[in-house]
Amino acid sequence: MEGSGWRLLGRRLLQVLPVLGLLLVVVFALQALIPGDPARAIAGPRATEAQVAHVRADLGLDETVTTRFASYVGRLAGGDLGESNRSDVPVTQIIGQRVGVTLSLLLGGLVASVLLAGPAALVLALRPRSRAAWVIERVLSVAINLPSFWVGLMLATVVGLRAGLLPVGGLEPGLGGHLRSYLLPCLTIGISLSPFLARSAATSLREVVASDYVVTARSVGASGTFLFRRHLLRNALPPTVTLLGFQAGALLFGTVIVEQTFALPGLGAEMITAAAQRDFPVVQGLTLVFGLGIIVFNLLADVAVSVLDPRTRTA
Amino acid sequence: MRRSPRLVATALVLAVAAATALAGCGSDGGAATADSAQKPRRGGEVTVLRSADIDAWDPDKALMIETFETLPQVMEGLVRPNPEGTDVLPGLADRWEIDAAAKTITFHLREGAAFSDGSPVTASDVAFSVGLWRKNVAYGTLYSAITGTRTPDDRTVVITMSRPSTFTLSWLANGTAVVVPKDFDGKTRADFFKNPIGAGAFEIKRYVPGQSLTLARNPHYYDPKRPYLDRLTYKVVTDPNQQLLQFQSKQAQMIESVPLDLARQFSATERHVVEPTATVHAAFVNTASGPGRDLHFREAVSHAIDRDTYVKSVFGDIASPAKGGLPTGVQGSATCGCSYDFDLAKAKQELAESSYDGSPVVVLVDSSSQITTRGGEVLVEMLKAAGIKADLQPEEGQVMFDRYSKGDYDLELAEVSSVSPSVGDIFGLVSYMVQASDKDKVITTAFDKLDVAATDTARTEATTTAEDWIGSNLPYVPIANPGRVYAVAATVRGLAVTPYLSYPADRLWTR
Amino acid sequence: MAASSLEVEGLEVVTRAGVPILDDLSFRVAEGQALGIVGESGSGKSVALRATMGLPPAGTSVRAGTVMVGDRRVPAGSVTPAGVAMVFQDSFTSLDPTMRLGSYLAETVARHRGATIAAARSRARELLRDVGMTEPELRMRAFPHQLSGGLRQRAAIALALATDPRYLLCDEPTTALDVTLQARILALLKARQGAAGLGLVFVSHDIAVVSQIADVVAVMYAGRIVEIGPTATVIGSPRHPYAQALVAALPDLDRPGTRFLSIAGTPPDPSEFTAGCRFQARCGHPGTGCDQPLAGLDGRDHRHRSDCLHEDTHPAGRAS
Repeated sequence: MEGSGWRLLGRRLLQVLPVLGLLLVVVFALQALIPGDPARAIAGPRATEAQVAHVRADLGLDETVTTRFASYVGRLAGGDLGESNRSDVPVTQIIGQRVGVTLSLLLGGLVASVLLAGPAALVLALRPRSRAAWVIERVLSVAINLPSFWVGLMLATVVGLRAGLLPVGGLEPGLGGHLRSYLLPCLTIGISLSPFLARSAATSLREVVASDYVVTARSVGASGTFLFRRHLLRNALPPTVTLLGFQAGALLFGTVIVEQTFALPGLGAEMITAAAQRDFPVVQGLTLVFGLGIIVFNLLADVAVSVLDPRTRTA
Repeated sequence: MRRSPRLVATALVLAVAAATALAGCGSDGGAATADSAQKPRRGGEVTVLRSADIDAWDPDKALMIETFETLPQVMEGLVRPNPEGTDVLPGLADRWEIDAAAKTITFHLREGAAFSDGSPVTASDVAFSVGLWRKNVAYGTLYSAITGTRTPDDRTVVITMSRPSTFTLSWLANGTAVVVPKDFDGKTRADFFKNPIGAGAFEIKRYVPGQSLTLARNPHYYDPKRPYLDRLTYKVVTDPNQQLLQFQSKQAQMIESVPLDLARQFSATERHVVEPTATVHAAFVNTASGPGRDLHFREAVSHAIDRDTYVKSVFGDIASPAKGGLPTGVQGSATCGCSYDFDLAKAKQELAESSYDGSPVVVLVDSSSQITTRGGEVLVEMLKAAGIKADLQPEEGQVMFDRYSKGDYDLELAEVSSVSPSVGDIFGLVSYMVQASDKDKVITTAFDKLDVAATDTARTEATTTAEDWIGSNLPYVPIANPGRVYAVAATVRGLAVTPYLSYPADRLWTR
Repeated sequence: MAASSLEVEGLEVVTRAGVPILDDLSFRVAEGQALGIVGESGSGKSVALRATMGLPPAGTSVRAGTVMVGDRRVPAGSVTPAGVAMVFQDSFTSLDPTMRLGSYLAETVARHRGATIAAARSRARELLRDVGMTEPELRMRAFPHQLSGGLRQRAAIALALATDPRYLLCDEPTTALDVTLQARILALLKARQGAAGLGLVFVSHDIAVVSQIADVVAVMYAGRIVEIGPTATVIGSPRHPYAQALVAALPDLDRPGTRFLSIAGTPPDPSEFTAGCRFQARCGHPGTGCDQPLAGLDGRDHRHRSDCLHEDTHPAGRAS
């Protein structure tokens, strides 16, 4: 990457910092904003006020907001996210145990949606009047309305239970087991995401196919795979990549639903349990991770677009 | 005892028409125990699904049903409950003597009682453990009769009490009275309970908090025949559909507390219904402020509820209409002469005599529980028929609990359950609840009587006194005693669930 | 034909619905010659170029016609004939925004000549110099959006020249530029025409621009050539009322104060094309018999003629 590329990346990273800071504040403010007293939740219904106060002191909830925020940020700088209120397991450990599952789902889901959306977009853009395009249009209209938990349930029941080809849920040990366990969940994510991707890609492909520079390229002899790869694809990708960046949040929280539906021990499933139990260190840690994830995701999308489309690079 | 918005929150329960007419208490239908003629086979593995993980191994943190059920499997106590949940059986202690005059119980530890690392269980371990129980954050007061321990020899522990409490003996069969090595074997409390050892039938093979717990047979367990299973795995699966799928695809052989709407999907032989459970489903009334201060109002509410219809609509008949305010089916349970009958005319009459001014009554329910949400809707309708305007406010579990603690409600639908083979643990909760309104200390006196009752008759007498008081004063309005459904594959035998939803896993075996 | 030439014969282009845009259009340009085609938008002049290149615009297709380059004949509309290149109107949209100029040129050269990358790159630099770009190394690395309008148009021309064409079709290449740049581009094209013996077909709606560069001018209206001839003759004494109007609309710098004259009305839509004279509605001199079927002029014959039945009745020359 040439010098301007590094500068661009550096500038993007700088832009990220204030967002990160805001994220930290919001995440910390969560515990003040969310109703429900974690000290009481832990002490239980039979505890006296004195016992609840004791738990509260234990959790450090009796200090002032500024003190707590300061110590929070201080510990954060040292990589300490605190411990779970309930199990005393370090939050970083919980994240470490589960992040692999969520990342695998994300990547697998992305791959699945590209595999589904790519050919669909090609057919829609390049052979718009064919029967295949007609069928694909109808399928996309239906697919875009299907809730992912229903899709997951159907897949698990039909492929997992009735046909017995794949596990209905849970994470089987070993590499082979992992692959088998991720297949249906990633497919579910793919089915949810691909209608958006396919439509966006088809639209931009259509635009590119009809564009003047494609005519020029053909007039100087470009054809076949070269024309497709270098001129069509390269110009059609940026809007879809940008869309993917916007979908990052949806993607991330889509994995939450899929983790629940398929009983996969990922970050999303943990978030749900921790939130219900007001386990704030865990909730805060996970929110931070999710926020970071979205930021990184968008950053990657931005970088990808600037690599693909030189017009987006500021000289 | 368990105050349980949480129980209701974790078990997604919905009405289902799975009527199984079961009479008596503590009975468990299904094929699970029908073939007592068959000899249990040693070996095999079973996977059990549950919708929540245990709170922690530290008994101080015990709140969920799963914790009470699981802790004793690894860390057995001095005594165990019998399968019906009405009495105690020998555990680590194989016999004991009660000296009423001297207010002591002398426990004799059995031969061969050993922790899973091979070291024998000694009296000093027990004495140390008793100290922990007494300081328990949530339940310490229920051990309040205990004043101390003496250890005359290595295998004898004498528990001294401030009164000749028989309740304490029953209470010791609850899941938090676990025996641990003295001084936690040199570790800190936190470290020890990260991966504890105990003298129970199983030892921890692998524990991933929030995900799965695998128990393996304790090679040093005092009973050479049990546990029958080589391995027992508890998996946390929160989604009911996923639970069903895993059961049907044979990835799991048992499901604890199946949501009622899912129970339908299991065949009759796979359905193991526990009915009634030692749980009271009631409308708790704010007696400190609002219309609930007035007894007439509470009477009106109670008479406005058609409990038979309620049970059908909300629980699909997997429940019985409440005949009392305290749990049924455990030691000391009794009925009272009071009537929780449905009488709309009486309700209206009581309402007229009350100070109710017609303004909307706030009914608080846990929005994440189908049972209380449906119950709330049914209750609101019934109240309306009696002339009480009700405002149903579903709140998320923790928020509801907060509002309840602050008194920001008029009525709240929730459930309380026993966690021991005695009715006394709920008793204690009730006496705490009614401190303000029970000026004559009827409940507290009754509990004290129950505490030291030497015979069943004496116990039921004490309970009846309390039931009578509850019936006349209505600190809360009992509605139903819900049942629970367990899903059990045909290959699994030996399941016996107590009314307070505990089952000895060491008695499970597979064909 | 003595010298080698580019000859398009019987070009027929229709819309998807089958409505003809061009019907039996023919034209020719010789090597080293410049043919100018003038007409309003909708006259079919750009379509004719695109069809010749084998790249009909979206929504149209070529139904008939052949293109002959030297002695090689191909059917029109399906392939780009060898030896013919095109320069497009809007250089901003006609260059791939994601390709650096040098790479684009080099790749095209490499593909066309089968050369190595190094040779292709050096040829690319040469091309940039040919089109008058200074600092070719800088330009090689530039993206289209980093170049000014004038430079971009030069780049587009360089790209077209990268395929070593003998004939260059130019579709309004100066329309987007200001007068000074316009002049420079025209000069560049003229230079290429002279130096490399390129045959030029130059299309524009601006007869003034065309007159500066073309040796032969063809005036198109509603899909037909209505007048053709050597530039001086057509400009000096136009015979067809439309050509006369176009020429009359030229501002006369010699006579200050003359206004721009515009022609009232708009050209007909292809679905309204008649067999007879299509300029009737706007003609200042309507006469009888204008509905008789006309064929349009054959552009391969460069002698001065017009496609008007009444050309003798109205005086040739500029209307004043």
